[in-house]
Amino acid sequence: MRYSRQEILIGREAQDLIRNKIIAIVGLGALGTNAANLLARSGINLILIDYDKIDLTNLQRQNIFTEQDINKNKVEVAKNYLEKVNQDIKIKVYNEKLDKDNLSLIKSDLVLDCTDNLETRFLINEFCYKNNIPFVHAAAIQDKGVIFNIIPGKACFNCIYKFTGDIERCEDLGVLNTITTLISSLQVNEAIKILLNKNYETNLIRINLSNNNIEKIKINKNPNCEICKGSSTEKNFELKLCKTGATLTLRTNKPLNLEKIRKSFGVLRDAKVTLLLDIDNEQVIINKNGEIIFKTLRDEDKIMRIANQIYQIGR
Amino acid sequence: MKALALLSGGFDSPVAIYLMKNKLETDALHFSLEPFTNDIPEKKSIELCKKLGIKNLYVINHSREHEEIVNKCDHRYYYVISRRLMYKVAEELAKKLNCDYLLDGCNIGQVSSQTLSNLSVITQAINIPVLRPLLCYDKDQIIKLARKIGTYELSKGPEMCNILGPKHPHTRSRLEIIEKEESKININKLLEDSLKNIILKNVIKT
Repeated sequence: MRYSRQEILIGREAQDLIRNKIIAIVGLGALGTNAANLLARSGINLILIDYDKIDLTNLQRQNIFTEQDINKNKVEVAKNYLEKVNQDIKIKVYNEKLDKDNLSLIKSDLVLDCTDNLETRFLINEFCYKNNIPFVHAAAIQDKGVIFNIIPGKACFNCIYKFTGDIERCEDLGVLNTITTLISSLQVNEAIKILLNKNYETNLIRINLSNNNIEKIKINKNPNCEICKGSSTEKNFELKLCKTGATLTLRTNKPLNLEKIRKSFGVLRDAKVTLLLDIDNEQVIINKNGEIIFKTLRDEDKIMRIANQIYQIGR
Repeated sequence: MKALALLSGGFDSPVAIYLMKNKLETDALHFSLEPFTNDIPEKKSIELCKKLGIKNLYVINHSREHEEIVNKCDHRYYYVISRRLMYKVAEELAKKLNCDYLLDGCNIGQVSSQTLSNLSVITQAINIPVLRPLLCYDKDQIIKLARKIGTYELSKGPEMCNILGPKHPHTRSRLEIIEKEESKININKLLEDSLKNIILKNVIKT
C-alpha cells in the first residue's frame, strides 16, 4: 500500500529489490537531508553520516529540520524524523566526520556524496572505486548544481576533479533551496536507477537556474588518473549469471597471473589455464582470461570479497 | 543389434537416441567433468535415461584425463583430442558390452568444434561404426523434436559449461597434427585409467 504510487511506475519486483538495499549518505546538509527524506519515503534503508549540529542558517534549505532542532546533532534528529516517516526501513547513523580511518562506514550498496568539501569526496571516490560501490556525486552552490554517477570501472571522480585547497563555499557565495532540492532529487532518482541497473545517466549533468540551462557533458576516463589508472581493468568487472543460470560469473578484460594465484590459494585442481580453488571453503574456478566462476556461492558480498582478493593477488 | 550412446545431458544426444530407439537396444555412457563442472550434467543424464527407457547408464569421471590434455597439448585442439580419447574409451566399453555401434548427437554447423574436418579426425580414432542420426539437423529441428519427445525440459535446466575449453578452438584439424599433439600424453595410460573409473548406474524405469 505504502509504495503503491511508485510501484505503478517501477514495478513490484523493483520495489522488492530496493527494499533490501542500503544507501549511505555522507553529509546531511541541503542535499543530504532532502535525499534522505526522499529515499526513506521510497523504502530504502539508510546509513547517515554527519558530525555537525543544526543551526539557524540550515533551516532555509535543510528541509527535515525545524526550529526545535537547533543545536541538536543532525544525524539523530534526522533518524527520529525519518523513523516517523517510515518505520519499515532500517536507519543507521554515525555522528562522525568521515575520514580515512572510518571510511568503511560507507560500505553499502550505493553512496550519495552530499558533502561540502573536496577532501571527503576524494576519500569516498577511492573507497568506492576499490570496493566496487557506485556513488552519485552531487554539489550545489548559488543557483547552480552538478551531479555525476560514478560507476566502478568507468570514469571516477579523480578523473575529472583536481584537489585544490580552496573550494567555493555556500556561506560565502550563497545557495538557493530550489537548486539543492532539484539537484538532490536528481541524485536520488539516479541512485535508484543505478540500483535497478536501469538506464542511468552516463553524462555529467550541470544545471543553472538563472537561465534554466541544463548541460550534459560526456566524461571519459582519464588515462593518467591515479585512482583508476592501471587498476581500471580489474575493477571493470561485472557479475552475472551465466547463460543457463547455473553459476555466478565475473569477467574482466585483464588476464590473471595464475602463478601468483597458485602460491596464494588452495589449489584443488590445476589444468594449466584453469584452476579450481578452495577459498573460504568455497569452490571457485578461475581462468587466465580473468574469469571467475563461483560454483555454488550466491552471496554477492562474499563473491565480491573473494573476487577482490583474487584480482589483487593475480594482477 | 545394440548401441552405446554418448549422452552429455544436452539437447542433442537424447534426440539422437530417440530416433534410433526402435531399431536398437541402447546403453548410455556419460563423461563427467566434476569438479570442473557441477553434478547437474550427470543428474540430467540419469533423468534423460529414465525418460528414454534406457536401463544402463555408465558414468566415467574424466576430469583427470581432460586436465592432462589441457596441461600437455595445444589448447586450441582440446576438443578434438579430448573427444578422440572419449570415443576410444566408448569403443572399449562398447566391446565389453557387445555393442555393434556407438551412437551420438553430433551435428555439423552448431559449434566451432563440431566441423566436418574435426568430426572426421575424431572418428578416425576408433574402428567401431558411429551412428549420427542428427548430423545434418539444425538446432531448431532438434529443439522441436526434443520438445515433442519430452526431453527438452530435462536438458534445458541450468548447467555449467565446460570451462576447460579454449575460447577459440581450431575449426580444422589434420590427423598428423593431432597425432603429434597426442604423443605428448600417454593415451594408452589415460584410456586404461578411464576404463577403471566406470560406474554403472542402474536407472530405474519410470
